[in-house]
Amino acid sequence: MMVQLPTLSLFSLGGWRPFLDPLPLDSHFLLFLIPLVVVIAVVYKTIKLDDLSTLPKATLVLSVQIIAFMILTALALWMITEMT
Amino acid sequence: MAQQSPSQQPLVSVRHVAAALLGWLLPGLGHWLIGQRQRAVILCLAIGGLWLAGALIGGIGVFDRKEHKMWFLGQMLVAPSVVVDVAHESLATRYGPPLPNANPPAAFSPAYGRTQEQGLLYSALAGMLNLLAMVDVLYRQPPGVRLEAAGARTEA
Repeated sequence: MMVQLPTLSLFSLGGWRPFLDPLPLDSHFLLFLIPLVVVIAVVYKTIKLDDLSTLPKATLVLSVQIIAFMILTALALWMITEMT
Repeated sequence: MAQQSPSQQPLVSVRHVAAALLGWLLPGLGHWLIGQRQRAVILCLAIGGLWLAGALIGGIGVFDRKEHKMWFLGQMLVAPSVVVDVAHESLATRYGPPLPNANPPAAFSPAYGRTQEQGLLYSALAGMLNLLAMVDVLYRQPPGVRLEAAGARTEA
């Protein structure tokens, strides 16, 4: 038996209920890897650095390195699959 | 009673173990309790934000220890994941399984495809980063003590 839960109209945006319904992001999923990489870099550098005043620059450098490495790896794998 | 030299002091103290365990409840809390306030705020915002983003992207359906056992091992490294999983199970039990396009709408909608992947990835990585933070709390000593202890051990 289905019971209707009261939905808070303040928090339902066009029928989407935050945290109860997933976001429709199938077509842009790769873009969501960028904030993920940035947060990983932030946490890693926050733990590693003794002086947190250099955190923004160190985070940016590490983020760019990770993204560049991911792109290079993707290109290499694409080339391997195209050649076989 | 003579004070212990740095080489005799245990590497991990009870205070740090307790702080690390409390860091499981809220990311950054462990660092706050050992006096690393700046690190605590940054870690809380970063790890907490990542976890919230995962919950927002995938919905509460991504916290499911029965459907996604391996992912849940990562997710449960942040305490709120366990609470959300219990709440999600309770909703599914009380209001029935979520069906697409149900009328009236189900208590929650499950995520599929890329949306589910992103939600799982975000929340599980938040858990693993929190584990990193907890381990850091265990071994983080004031720089002077850490260097002295390391030097004494090297000489011995």
